[in-house]
Amino acid sequence: MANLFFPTRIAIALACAATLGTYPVRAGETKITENGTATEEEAPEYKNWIELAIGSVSVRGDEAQFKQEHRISGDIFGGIQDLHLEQSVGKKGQLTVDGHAIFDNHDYDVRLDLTYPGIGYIRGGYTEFRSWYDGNGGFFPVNGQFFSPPHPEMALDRGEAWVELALRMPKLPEITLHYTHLFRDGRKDSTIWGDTTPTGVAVNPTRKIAPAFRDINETRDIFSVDILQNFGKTDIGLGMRYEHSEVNDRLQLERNAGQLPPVVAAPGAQRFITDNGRNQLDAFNGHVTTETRFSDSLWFTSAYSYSTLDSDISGTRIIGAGYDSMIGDPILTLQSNDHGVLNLSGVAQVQEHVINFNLLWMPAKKLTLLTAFRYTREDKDSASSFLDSNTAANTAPFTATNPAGGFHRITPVLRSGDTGEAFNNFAETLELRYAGIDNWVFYARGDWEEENGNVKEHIVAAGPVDQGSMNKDTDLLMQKYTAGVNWYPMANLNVSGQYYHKSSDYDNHFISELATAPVVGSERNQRLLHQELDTDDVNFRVTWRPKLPPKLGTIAFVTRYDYVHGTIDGQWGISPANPPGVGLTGITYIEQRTAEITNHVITESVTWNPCARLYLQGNASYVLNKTDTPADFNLIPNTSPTVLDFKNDYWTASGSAGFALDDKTDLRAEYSYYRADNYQDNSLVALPYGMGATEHTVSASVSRQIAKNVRLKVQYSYFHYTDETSGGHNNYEAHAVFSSLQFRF
Amino acid sequence: MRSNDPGFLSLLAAVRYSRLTRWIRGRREKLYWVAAGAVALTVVLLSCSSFESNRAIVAPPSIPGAEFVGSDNCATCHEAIARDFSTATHARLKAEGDNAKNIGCESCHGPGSLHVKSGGGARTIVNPRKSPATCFQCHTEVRAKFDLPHHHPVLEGKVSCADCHNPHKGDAIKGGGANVQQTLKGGGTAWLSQNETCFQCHTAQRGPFVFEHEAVREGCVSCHSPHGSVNQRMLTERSAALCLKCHFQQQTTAGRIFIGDSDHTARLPQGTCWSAGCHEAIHGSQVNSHLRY
Repeated sequence: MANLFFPTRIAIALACAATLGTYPVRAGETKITENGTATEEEAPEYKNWIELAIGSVSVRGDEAQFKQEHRISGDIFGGIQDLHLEQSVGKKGQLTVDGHAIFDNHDYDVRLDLTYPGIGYIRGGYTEFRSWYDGNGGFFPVNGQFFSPPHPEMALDRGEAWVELALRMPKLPEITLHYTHLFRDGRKDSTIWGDTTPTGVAVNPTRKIAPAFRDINETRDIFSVDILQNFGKTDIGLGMRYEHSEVNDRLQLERNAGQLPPVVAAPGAQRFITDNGRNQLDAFNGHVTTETRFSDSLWFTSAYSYSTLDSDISGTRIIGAGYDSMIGDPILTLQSNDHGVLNLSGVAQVQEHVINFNLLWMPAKKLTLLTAFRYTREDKDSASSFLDSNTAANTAPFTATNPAGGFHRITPVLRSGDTGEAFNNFAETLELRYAGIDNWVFYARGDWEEENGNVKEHIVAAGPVDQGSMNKDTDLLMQKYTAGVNWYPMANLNVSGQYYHKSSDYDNHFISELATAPVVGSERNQRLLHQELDTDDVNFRVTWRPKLPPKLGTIAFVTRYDYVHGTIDGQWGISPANPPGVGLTGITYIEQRTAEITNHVITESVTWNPCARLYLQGNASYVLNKTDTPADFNLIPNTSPTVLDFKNDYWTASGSAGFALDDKTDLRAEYSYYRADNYQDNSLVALPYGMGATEHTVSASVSRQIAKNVRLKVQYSYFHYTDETSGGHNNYEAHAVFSSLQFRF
Repeated sequence: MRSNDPGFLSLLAAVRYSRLTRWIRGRREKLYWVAAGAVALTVVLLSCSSFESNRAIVAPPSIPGAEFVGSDNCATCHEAIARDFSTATHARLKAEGDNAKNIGCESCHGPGSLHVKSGGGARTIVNPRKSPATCFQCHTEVRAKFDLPHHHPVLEGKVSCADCHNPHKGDAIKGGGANVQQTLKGGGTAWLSQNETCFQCHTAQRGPFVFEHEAVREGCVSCHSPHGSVNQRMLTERSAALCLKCHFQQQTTAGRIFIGDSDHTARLPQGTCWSAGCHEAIHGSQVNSHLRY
């Protein structure tokens, strides 16, 4: 544990910071300081700046969890924290370069902009940043079972390279060409955890806690062109967009972790699954838009869009003795119903037409009316076929490669499926705003959406056995009604309130059903015939800046309360389209509540400037969130519920202070706190999921202007996180130092 | 004194298990707060009186030394934004009357005098795309979510509020409502327009899939809390309770739970519905109508 507190790399970082601080000191004239956000001091004579930075982190405990949460590399990192250059080009042109490049944090961003007023501009840039992921899976408290992840720390890089050319010449159409290349490349964790039986539970011991991860490889190339021309009071826009994307992701799972001889009898059960899904997609969109301003109080806009999307699907799902196995690789631990997928091949096509009209009308100066209408027609057809690789029990004579109790692959069989969907969707909006009473604004809005469609699924099972088609008509009616008010009773007081009710009603009318054989003594396949999702949301906000005696400075309070209540009701039935004589055809059950969600959020924010040289800020929030599920009853043979009502309660609090110590030096300190207390150990009957965690973060920095155009900043941060749900495996404690030196020129 | 000296160990144990130590341990968090409060109060009392300096420091988001100039000045250069703002959700904040006269561009962008004076110079105006503190002035409940262990990296500066929300024109949520123009201009195909914002980055979840999960049509937010969550993957619920919100069908056998035509009584104790071997392809599948894989 040599790298616990202030190890060598932190000492190096501090040394570098001290070296940066030895830059010759000259008296500064500036009387106003920066606050560490994007609103920095602007010395008028300097338009360019570069800020060099170096930092380091020392973590004790789960370093990956720290990186995942705070997105800081655990090693020494540094580079250009901020860069801004601007330069005149020719008589009117302006070249601007902005960016940053922090090495080892994989955090890069550069943007170039060359603008000639009256002609146009060319812009381009490159952005890349890294996200870290903790490879830990689940923790089972009964016997402390925990599987070390194959990759304790994972990272995914996301980036974009782009260029945009625009023509902005008087009396000519505005033309904009844009090309962008986006990518995601790396590895991240997954919550699709694998199963294991050594859990110390006597009955039904299987729990799914084995770590899983995904290998991500995705690219997108998008080219677009937009042309905008003004004709009197009307702007007409034409545009097209072409996208090619490639997804080649792999989900990596481990099943029956730890279940190899001698833990269990030969041949064991531990095996690995690599599910590789590939999708090549080409999408084209063409659109035309109009914006007509008949007057300042009457605008009309319209749009038509046509989109088409074609994708080629391929992939495999192979179960093997290790990750990324080949189908022919030997494996002794196959189990019953270990389905694999080979030679997946498919296509999907989507076509969409969208028509849109909007009107803004101000019939009186203080009354605004907004309306919008949208029609969408969407058709989707897709089909896929693959070889289903299943297993069968080994038979005698048993050998080392054909063990008793084991399974082997059988000849793959062809399976296929195809689906078709068609939807007509109409959406309308009407909003009224009234500001006719001084210091008040009232608004009301209605949103409606009506949709009718048809969904068809056709499946050919192994055999091949044509299971026929499930064919259903669907209807949706969405309604949302919003009302709100903003009131300014005093210049330093603002009261805001809003309420909305949203309701989504779905209906499914089954025309035909898959011809699956009924299971004797079992339930027949229930289908969702009707579902209603209702949400009531109300929130209040008070922003108050009371006048204090001059000696006490200024203060501002923001108080906010949000309440959300949601319900989901469903009506199920034995599909009325079941073939005659099969199962309980046509039974419809009464509607029942399948979930009730309540959410209370109260937050308070205070900003106090007791004097010009000091500010204090504080934020606190308390959240009570609960999802009631009707499934919280005892499941045979358990004597307590397996599925619990789910709670997401938590506290957060943060505070910051800034202090101008003298004419050149600022001090700044921050603290934040997070606490969730919903852990409930029901491990004997389930996997405990409720989150129990506490986090403290403290940081302090000093910033000093060491010359008129040079500013040095040194910062120290401390992090402490404990996680009950993970059994402490995600806990960490970290120290970070960071220093930057800004030159203006 | 050696570390294994009996006397030392005895003293250590006495300290470790003393009533005072136990009292402190039991109130550790409260003591942190008291200590932090005492330090803060001390700073307040000392700072404003004990040092000589005329400098001012301002709390974010603000522009040091700048003064309010009114929205009309902004419209001089930012004509289109000023013109289209009437269509924006945020236009609901604009009222007539003396008490509301300062509500305008500078409510979010800070006082603009230095920006106007410098002809739009860099760093002379608050840019919410770079500093979300502006948005958090009112949306304090969202600020709290970004402090949770699982969140989009807005505070870290990798993602901005404006990547998903449009503060200046039309619906605040990109792709929301019936107005599709902003979606088109954002480059989306408007296909499943309300989710297009998410699909900008989460390409694989867009599909299209031969077998869809219909919940995606209701919206990604059916299962995910996009600002932040206490749960991994920003899930609204991190257990089978998530899926059973919709998939809890009529149960007809006491002590057992059926989903579809399958008895899940022994499966639910194992883990979530999307665990390995169950419904792994939760966003949609190319091969299996039950989204098994």
